[in-house]
Amino acid sequence: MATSSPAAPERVVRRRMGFQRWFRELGWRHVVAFLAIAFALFPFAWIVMSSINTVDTLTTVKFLPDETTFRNFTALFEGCSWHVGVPPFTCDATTPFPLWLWNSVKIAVIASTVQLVLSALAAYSFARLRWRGRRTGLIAILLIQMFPQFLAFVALFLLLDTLEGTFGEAVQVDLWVIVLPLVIIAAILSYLAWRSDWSARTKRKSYAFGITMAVLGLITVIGPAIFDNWLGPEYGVTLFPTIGLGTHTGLVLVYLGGAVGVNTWLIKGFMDSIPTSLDEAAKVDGATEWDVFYRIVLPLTRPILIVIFILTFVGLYNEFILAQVLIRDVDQFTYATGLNLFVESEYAAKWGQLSAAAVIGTLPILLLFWALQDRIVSGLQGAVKG
Amino acid sequence: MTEGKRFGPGWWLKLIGLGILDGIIVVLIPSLLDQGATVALVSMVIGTLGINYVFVSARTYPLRWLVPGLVFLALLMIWPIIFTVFVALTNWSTGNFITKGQAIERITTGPTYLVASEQSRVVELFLYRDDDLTDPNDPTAGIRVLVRTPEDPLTGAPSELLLGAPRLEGTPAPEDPVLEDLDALEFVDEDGDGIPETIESYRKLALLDIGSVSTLLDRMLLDIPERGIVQTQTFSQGLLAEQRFVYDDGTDTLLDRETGGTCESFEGNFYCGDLSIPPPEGQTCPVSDGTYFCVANRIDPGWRAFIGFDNFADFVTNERIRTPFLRVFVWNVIFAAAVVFGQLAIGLGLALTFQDDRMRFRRTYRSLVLVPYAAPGFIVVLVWRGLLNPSFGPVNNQLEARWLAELSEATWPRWLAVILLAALAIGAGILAWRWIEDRRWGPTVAWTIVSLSLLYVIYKLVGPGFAVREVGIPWVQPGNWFWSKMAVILVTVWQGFPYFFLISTGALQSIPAELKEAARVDGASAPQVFRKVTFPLLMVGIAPLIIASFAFNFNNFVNIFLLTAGGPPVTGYDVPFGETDILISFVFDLAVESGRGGQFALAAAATFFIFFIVASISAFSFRFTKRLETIYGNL
Repeated sequence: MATSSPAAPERVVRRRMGFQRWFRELGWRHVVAFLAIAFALFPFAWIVMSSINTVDTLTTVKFLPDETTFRNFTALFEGCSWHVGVPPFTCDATTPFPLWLWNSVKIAVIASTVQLVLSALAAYSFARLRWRGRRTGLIAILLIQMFPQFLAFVALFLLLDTLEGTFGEAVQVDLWVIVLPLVIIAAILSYLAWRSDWSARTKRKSYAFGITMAVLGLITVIGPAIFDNWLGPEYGVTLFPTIGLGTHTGLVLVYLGGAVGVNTWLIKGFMDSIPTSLDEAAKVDGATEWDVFYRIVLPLTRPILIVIFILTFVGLYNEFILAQVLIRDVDQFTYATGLNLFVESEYAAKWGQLSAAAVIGTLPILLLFWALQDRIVSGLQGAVKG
Repeated sequence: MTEGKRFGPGWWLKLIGLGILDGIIVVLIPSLLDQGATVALVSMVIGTLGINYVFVSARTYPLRWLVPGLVFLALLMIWPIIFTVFVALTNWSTGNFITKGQAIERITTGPTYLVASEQSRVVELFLYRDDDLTDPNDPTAGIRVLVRTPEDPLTGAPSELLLGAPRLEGTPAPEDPVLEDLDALEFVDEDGDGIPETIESYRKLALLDIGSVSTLLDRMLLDIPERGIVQTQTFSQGLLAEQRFVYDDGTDTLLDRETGGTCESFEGNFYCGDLSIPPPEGQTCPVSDGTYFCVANRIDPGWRAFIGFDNFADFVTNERIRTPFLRVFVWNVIFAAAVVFGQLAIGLGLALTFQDDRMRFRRTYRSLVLVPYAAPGFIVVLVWRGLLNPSFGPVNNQLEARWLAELSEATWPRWLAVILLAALAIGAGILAWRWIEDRRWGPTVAWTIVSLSLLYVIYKLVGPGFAVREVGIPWVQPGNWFWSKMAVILVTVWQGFPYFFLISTGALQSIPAELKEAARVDGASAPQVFRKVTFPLLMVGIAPLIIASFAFNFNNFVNIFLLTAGGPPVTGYDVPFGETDILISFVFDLAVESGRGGQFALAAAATFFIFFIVASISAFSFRFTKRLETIYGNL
């Protein structure tokens, strides 16, 4: 092992060395680096190549395809059509890839948003309020997190199965049941604003609300007349969703079990670094605890909140075992559990489509990772630098 | 402590929120009572009262910020852990999934258990019809059947008249068959023989009117709750197929109409027949007081019942469960240890290579090397499954095209490979010896294992049976026991080495350069500096992370499940498992994927072992870490 010398200006060193010495001291390092990168990247190179190969099997002995095509990518979206509603498309295929992607993103966004809110609230209590049992609570949270939630998947499976008996039926209503009261409230509010002497800002807000609701009401009325497949085949706005085995609500709830955990610690640490003199000044001016949290501490915590949101999102997007255990219906699968279906049967395995789906699913995650690379690296290395 | 303004918007919001919560709970109470979920009900009510208290009392103000998160933590994190232990103490499985009441209802009502057809009894019946209600699409519309049931010798129920709407043979039995209450209906009995001539608008059919019904005569069924099914045979006669079992509350037994005997309940099932006969040779049955409860005598469905520590005992005493469990456990430890060692060796080696400040492009290299760690795990594992496919996969294709063909024959490339591998094995042996001199046993053991593994590969190469040329290396699906294990280790090492590269780089940077220079000045060689100064200091920093990584890989479900699905399978045991199954995937097979049905209780018992192991690892790692101190420092 070469000892590291004090950082000399590189060019100077380089010029003074002969090739032999350069190779002995530095060059071999680059050779090793290239080998390591080749080892790390060759599976990715292979899926990119196989996703654009015309041959849809593994027997592509040649790494570089003779002919390229985007058929594998377009095949992923076959059998799907657009309509107005949520999700804005329906898929009729044995492997409804767009639906899986939608499910994954939906579940991950909802769960990580709620997790973030719960975590931030808890962190504020730990960072700013003084109460008995605070230390114990913080340590207890850390200890509980040592048992990964998925280990208890048998219990979670049985729990959701039991809940199905109680919450098995969703409460669904027509869209107008929700829109109509809102339109009426908005109309009254706008009228009051027009006749009153409220501040200009409040009036503007009232009018904006009124106009939005009016537009929404209009869409509700004329929507079915214009669009064939208004709001999709299973029309209805869910007031209270089904909770149970095989439902996304159940899965999201399970994910929320991990809300108060390591992230609470991180946010709490960040909040500790915000000077309390700010809160005190605000409180002197009559701010409540909630005002301090919402208007002072939370905005200042935003950088770490964004990072935690992205990391939680990626974590849930990658979550496999609970989604595999708790979701049984192919249309309800997430991206993580659905991908396996492409290659489940040995003889009808669609490796080309799998590669295309893998490229689509991996790229955004890699871009996010590269964007946050410095923060992640320093976070990981912080643990060992002490 | 500032509270929200009384009667301000926050106050109203709180009131409405609590109102909605309490409302939902109140609405749920009847449903839970119905299901007999007393524990859930009580804990829910107590929890709700607690939440109300927290939001009303001023003293508990700080808790209000925590409650939303804590509710989820308690319900979906802590409670499942406790519930796992509870499930492990029951017989919860596919055949024992429902409550006792539901199981008895299924056994004693409906078409599941009826007495054998030759024991059916002849009953008198009368047909009624309302001509206005007939429907060409539904032949039984407008028809009513009146049955005079005989006395029941088993339960002593008297003879009675029962009226109901029949269904056609072959149609599914209704879940809750309902009869009409004859006494509440208006009927006319002119001749006083006890059989009415008309009931409401229905008129009793005489033999001459029967025309349109005649084709239906032997195809109509009438379900009689808790008694059986009547099949119409002729115009005035039917056959009553009675329920085989009647439940006796007092003795908690089933009365068996077919044999006249009783059936006893034992650990979630009823057992019928002569239970005093010991099972034939080679079979074991649970015994209690000279009574044998064998599968052959069992009545399904059963119910979930508390059976104590039987599931745990199975892992110890039942050889056909113990062997799978032990094999899975041993491989699990080997897998996690090998993976961590491989990741650390490659990651640390790379970190040392990059540790020269004069080296250029290090940031770019790092970004690229990190890709396996950053990409979603389930994707890369599936890609590897394609790469390692034995018949078509590029890895085997390349190996075959370049080397395997030559290696299969005793030509010079084979001997070259043997010599190279032997050199590596000797190198690893020398390293192991060096670490013995330093009295550091971890690296000693690790390098010894590496050396022995290399020797084993040499043996595979020159020994008998090396014929990979025809089939390629059997990595995964289908794979053989050795290469499947190699494959999961290879893929997991590939996936995790960037992590160890990162943390080793961080730890190396934190080691002061003066220490190493001082050692060099004192005459130590570069390898000596590494072994005696750098490595021990490095370990102080990364030991906790090595342990954490071991714990993570101990439960690395995704890699095993997606790469080999635990295979190749091992047959001949009471529980399904494969050569590469680790505990968590073994539990998954037991609970979810098992061909023999979900054995939730056994799975929960195995999960409990995992809990125990994870807790031990965590406790062990706390000895190595300053984490607790930093936690206290942070408070």
